Amino acid sequence: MNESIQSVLEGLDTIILGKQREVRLALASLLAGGHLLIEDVPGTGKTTLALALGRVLGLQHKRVQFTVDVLPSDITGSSIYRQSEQAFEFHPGPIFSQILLADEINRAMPKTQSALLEAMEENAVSQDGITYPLPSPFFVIATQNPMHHSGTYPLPESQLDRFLMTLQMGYPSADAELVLLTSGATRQKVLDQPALCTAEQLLGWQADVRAVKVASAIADYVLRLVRESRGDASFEMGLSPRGGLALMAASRAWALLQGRDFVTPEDVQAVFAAVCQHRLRFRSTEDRAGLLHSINDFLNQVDVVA
Amino acid sequence: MMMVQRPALLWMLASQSLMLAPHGSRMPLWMLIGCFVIVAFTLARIQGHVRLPSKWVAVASVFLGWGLLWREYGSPMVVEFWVDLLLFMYTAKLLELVSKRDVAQVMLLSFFVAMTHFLFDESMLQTIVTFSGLVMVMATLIAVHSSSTQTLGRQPLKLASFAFLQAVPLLVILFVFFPRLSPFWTIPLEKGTAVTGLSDRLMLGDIHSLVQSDALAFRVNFAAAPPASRDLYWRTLVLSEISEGGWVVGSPPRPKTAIGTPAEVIDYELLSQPMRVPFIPSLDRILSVEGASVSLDPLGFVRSTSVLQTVSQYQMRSGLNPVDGVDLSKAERAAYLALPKRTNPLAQAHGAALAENHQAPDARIQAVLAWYFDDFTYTLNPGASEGDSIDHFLFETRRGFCEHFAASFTWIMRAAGIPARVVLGYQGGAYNPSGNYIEVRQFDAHAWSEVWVQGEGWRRVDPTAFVAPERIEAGMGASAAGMDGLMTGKAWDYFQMQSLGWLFDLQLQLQALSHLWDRVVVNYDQAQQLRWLTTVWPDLELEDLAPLALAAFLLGLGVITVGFVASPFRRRLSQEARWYRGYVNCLDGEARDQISRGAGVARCQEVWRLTRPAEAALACEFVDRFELRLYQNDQSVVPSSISKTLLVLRVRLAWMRLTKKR
Repeated sequence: MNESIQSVLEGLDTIILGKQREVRLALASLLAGGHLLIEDVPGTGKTTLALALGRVLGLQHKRVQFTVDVLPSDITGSSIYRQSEQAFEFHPGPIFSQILLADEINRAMPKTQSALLEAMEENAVSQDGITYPLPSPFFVIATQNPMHHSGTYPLPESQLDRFLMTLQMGYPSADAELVLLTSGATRQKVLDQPALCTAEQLLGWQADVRAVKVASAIADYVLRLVRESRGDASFEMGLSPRGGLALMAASRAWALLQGRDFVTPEDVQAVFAAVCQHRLRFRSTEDRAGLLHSINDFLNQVDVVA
Repeated sequence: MMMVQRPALLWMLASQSLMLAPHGSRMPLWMLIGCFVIVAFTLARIQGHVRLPSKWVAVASVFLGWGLLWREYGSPMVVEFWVDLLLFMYTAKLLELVSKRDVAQVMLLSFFVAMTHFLFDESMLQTIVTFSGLVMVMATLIAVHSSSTQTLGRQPLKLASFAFLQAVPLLVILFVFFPRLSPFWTIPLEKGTAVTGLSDRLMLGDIHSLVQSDALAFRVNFAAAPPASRDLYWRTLVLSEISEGGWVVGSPPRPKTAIGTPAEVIDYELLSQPMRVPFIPSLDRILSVEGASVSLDPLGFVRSTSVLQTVSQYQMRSGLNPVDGVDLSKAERAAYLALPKRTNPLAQAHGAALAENHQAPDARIQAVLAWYFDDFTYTLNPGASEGDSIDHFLFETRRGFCEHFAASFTWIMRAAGIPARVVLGYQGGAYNPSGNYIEVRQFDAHAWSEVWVQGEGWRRVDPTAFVAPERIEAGMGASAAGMDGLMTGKAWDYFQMQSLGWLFDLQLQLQALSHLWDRVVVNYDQAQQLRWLTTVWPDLELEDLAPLALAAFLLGLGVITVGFVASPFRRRLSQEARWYRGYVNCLDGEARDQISRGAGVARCQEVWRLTRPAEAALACEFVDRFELRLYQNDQSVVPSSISKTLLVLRVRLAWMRLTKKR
């Protein structure tokens, strides 16, 4: 594998302890050029992961803490009338950064949410008829509290679709937690973390991801997954064609992280839950663990080779 | 911890209980309790209240069960022993049940348990119960193998019922056409003692206890209109000798062949329930009988050469009111006049006096019947007999049941010099208009006499008919209702039913249905099959049937096989899928249990490496080539080389496993 990707991963692993899988999924999401939604109860390291990604990748990053009273212009920026020049001047908001960390996105009003998500879709902000392009690369790493927590506005499905992956951080293992407790001051570690690559390198890796080979056997497999998801008893709504494309892109990125230039079924399976859990509508109203279980069941039912 | 989903386990317990239930009333009480405890324990285990018992508990309970079964039956030469052994092991398996494979094993065993149901009961109700049990079993198998938690509600049952309905046409075809083979071996059932019915000797009081039972004895369909109830004397066996105070069949001299043509011939089909004695009831003078292992006794009744354990069907032809012109031989006359000395002296003296007072045999007969008519009472409650039982009855109580009258009458006749014998059988029967047949139950059991009248042959004399004509005219029910004797038990309930109107009608309908089932399904034997098939192919011979059916069977099997292999509807496996399957089949059971359809080669390899690292190492070359070809689109890896490495892998694996076993 590319040595600098390796070092990036190692750097992340020293900050986020015992979460190799989540760290790799998050990086894969960025390499595939997709936005990332991290979901879990407070205090599980959502923000730390997002910050660490920004530092390690050497990208310029900003953070917005969403609350009920955050307005769209607080994100995108606003035009201010400048007396001296007798003209409006656009003051870019925090969205004009390479990584935007949108903390607790589901605490914001729907109006604010859609402003952000529109920008994510267009890769640009329009203000007073002028379009300001966002920097490249541009990633949104949003975190959200579980749905049933009080004071939340759940994101609609159409907007959830903008995120390539949804991650659950989960609690750390006992060993990792012990290290965490004894070493302490994670936040400082993040701030001290030097950048391990550059934006240009990252863009190069994104190109590498697009070059990862997808054999016809894999395309067949992804097609089977997508089509079977539409008829499966557990799902009320299956995957959309866009879901299939997302699955393919994420699988490629995962394959690259595994040091391969071709996709195997295991890559597809590794990213499937992260890519698809927010794109599928489940028939039962189980908790998240139950939903992941039924996704696993679904993967077990679909033939890998047919 | 069980590795099966809870709904599947609940399905399993439900179907297992359903399969055990039909044996519940038959199996020993301790076993019933044991099975119940094990099932309840497993239920608690599924719910997480208790844990898997240690291996020693399971082993100990199995040995305990074996020991108790051995004590119960004493010998392994009865079917019940083996059936109960099967049922016990079937239940005890729950004590070590952990994996999917265990559940599947128990469910497959259920199919054998289903067969044992029919050893004891072939009725329509039992068939329905058994088949619903089997549908449940299939539902369990579906539930066990379904990996999704979402589909465990009513879905498996729906699927299983659907599969069952699909199999019904095949079931019908196999039922009708599959050759009926006689069993290669038999083990006697122990149930002989449990069946109610006539025994082969008559002690006073025997029939009296029999008429308390409403158990079905047999059913008869007549070709023409059935005779009147008072003429229906179902001769079952003839008792010619007295031994230890009771009448027994004995071994009377062989009679000369009866000549004499019967006045009237009647054809009927008799469907007999299991009988205690190997004799089959028939009307008056039996002329011919068709059925499995039967023979005509020279004394004019039907013997079966095997134990009557199941419902059996007979085609019969009888002559009514036959006239025999033949003389009794000397030996016969002596046999039918023989009376033991010094027993029942009063009755013997009475007979002797009768012979002095009346010259004509007819007059002697009439005199005794007149005496009965005047002085005797027909009762179901005759009281215990003492000492010389016939003397006691004739000269003290004068209250008796058919057996008393038949036995004493025959005794007096012999004492009076008229050859006589006792006949045991059934009298009358109830006509079922829904099914157009006559049904005879155990409470129709009856005893009467036959006396030899010169020039006429054996004449039936039923002294009961003189004492209690309503018994003969209207049947047991009517006489029981008006009698002072206490009729108790099931027979009484049965007669009470008759006053319930529609309920009784319903019962008649159900009985008719059950009769139809017995005739058409249970009795569909070789002869019936041939009879049915010859209506379609008149030239068919019995000898042709087996090879023909075998040929048809093989042909059908061939068609199915060809259909599976070459059907255009079948999804053809791609070359890739065949490689994949071939590889997965190389895995041993332990590894294969852990992988699903969704497991790619790399995942399989991972699992395999964990269970059998040495074997998995052999597969590396195949896995490399497979992935190169499939996922890297490397066209330099030609398909034949992959097939070759797969073949090499298989051979090396087989060799490895072989040498390791040693």
